[in-house]
Amino acid sequence: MATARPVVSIYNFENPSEKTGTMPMPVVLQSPLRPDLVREVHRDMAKNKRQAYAVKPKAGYDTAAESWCTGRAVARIPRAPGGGTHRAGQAAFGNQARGGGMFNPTTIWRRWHRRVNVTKKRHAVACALAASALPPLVMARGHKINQVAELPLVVSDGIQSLTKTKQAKEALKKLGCGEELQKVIDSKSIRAGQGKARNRRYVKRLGPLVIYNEDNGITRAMRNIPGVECAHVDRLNLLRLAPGGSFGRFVIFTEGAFKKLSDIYGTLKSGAPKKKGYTLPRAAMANADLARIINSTEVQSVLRPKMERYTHGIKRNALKSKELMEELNPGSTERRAVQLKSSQKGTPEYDEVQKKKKARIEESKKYNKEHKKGDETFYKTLMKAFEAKAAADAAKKAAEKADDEEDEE
Amino acid sequence: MAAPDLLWQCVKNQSCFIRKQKNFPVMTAEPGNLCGLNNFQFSGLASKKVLGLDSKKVGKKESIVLTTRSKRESRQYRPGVVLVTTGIKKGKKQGPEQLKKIIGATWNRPELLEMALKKYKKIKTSFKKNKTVKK
Repeated sequence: MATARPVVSIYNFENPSEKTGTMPMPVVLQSPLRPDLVREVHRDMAKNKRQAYAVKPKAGYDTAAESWCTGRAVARIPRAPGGGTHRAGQAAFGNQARGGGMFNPTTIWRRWHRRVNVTKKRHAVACALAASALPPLVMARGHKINQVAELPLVVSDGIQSLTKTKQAKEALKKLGCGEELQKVIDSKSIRAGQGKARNRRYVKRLGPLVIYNEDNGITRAMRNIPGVECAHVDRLNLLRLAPGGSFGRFVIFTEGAFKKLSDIYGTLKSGAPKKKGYTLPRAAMANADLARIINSTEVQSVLRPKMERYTHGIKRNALKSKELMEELNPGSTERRAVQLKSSQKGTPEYDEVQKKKKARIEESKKYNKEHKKGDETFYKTLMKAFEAKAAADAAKKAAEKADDEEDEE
Repeated sequence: MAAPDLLWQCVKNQSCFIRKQKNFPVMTAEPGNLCGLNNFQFSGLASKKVLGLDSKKVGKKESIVLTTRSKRESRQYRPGVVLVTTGIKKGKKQGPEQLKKIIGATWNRPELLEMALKKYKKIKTSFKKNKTVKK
């Protein structure tokens, strides 16, 4: 995070174009962003307000039904006893029977609530607070903050003493929340689903969360403004800071509340004065800006020079591409040209080739005349070898025959 | 301000601006996103340097507006003022020149200059009264 803590302006609630003071940002608001942690903790915390639902314990089993067993040409499922009514003899019990119990009946002793580690809960709240101080996250969550002067929005303590809703609404509008409040009003619609028949008829978006230190009327002034919620600094609820598990709620702090954040959460060194044994979460990476790290002089100065990667172009076949062949085998084009020429009559290349051919033939003839005549012709040598082999075979056969006759005797 | 990479991780799946369609890349409606694509490159929420080019219609007047992010530290926490809008001239030569000056010369996302010029052309054609479809 930033090494120097940014300074936050405090706005006069009566005249928000005025700034009544400044304050350094509390360290909580610079906690590491952990959407995964917030989601997890929210998921479990949200289960804690559930009310049990279940079917009646006796549901489907409140009959004296007994199986008719075999021998009566009916299925063996338990049947309602007695007579004189349609119900008699009808199947009972079992999820498949009409009027029977359900499969795996829902029970009240289902584990409805979840316990979450205290430190985890605290980390999640710190993280959610930090997210509410970042405009991109608050915008991404869907709040309309374009008219808001600054985030985090800190207002002078006078707002805590407002008693009339009208005044409160005026104050919020002057602070730039008009668009946000309007969004809430416009979003009111009938709930989809059964909830509408169960006293949860309307749904609407959430607006700003006002965090105060002393309630001198502010809760009552704000409570009827659609979308606005109030919370005391000492009792911050993750379910309000990160509704639906998504952090980045639009939060308005009062001056006293903002100051108190530092008193409650302290710093990384000092620990949290008001939360025993608790220290704010530490980021896994002190500086998460990868681009800056990579481009920094510390890193760039120790890098080896960039490797020249051999990029293969499209593979070319040397047998088809004459240029490539020339690259690989210099002189091949020349050779090919000569070859071409040498088959054309009248060119010096042709004559050259013919001359060589003639010389070759002459040589060969000369050689043959000298060496291959008489008994050394091809045919004679062949026959000689053949006859020699034939004679050898015949002799072998005769010898074998002689042996056989001997053995017989 | 938090690191852009970190912000992107927080915002890439979870943002009110995301618009999804079947068989289509994921898009965003956030201000300051040149292509409207949900990418770290183009993100108007996560990056420190932001570039957006849009058409704006006020009454009958249509204008082309360039959105950039202010570099001042003091403005990073002020949502109303952090994104700076500049009107771009609609003249055939002047508009692109102005874009080149702002984007290219001042090192404000120079790699997006070409794309911005293309978008500028498209916005201009969208202003034409007789809308002829370019094939």
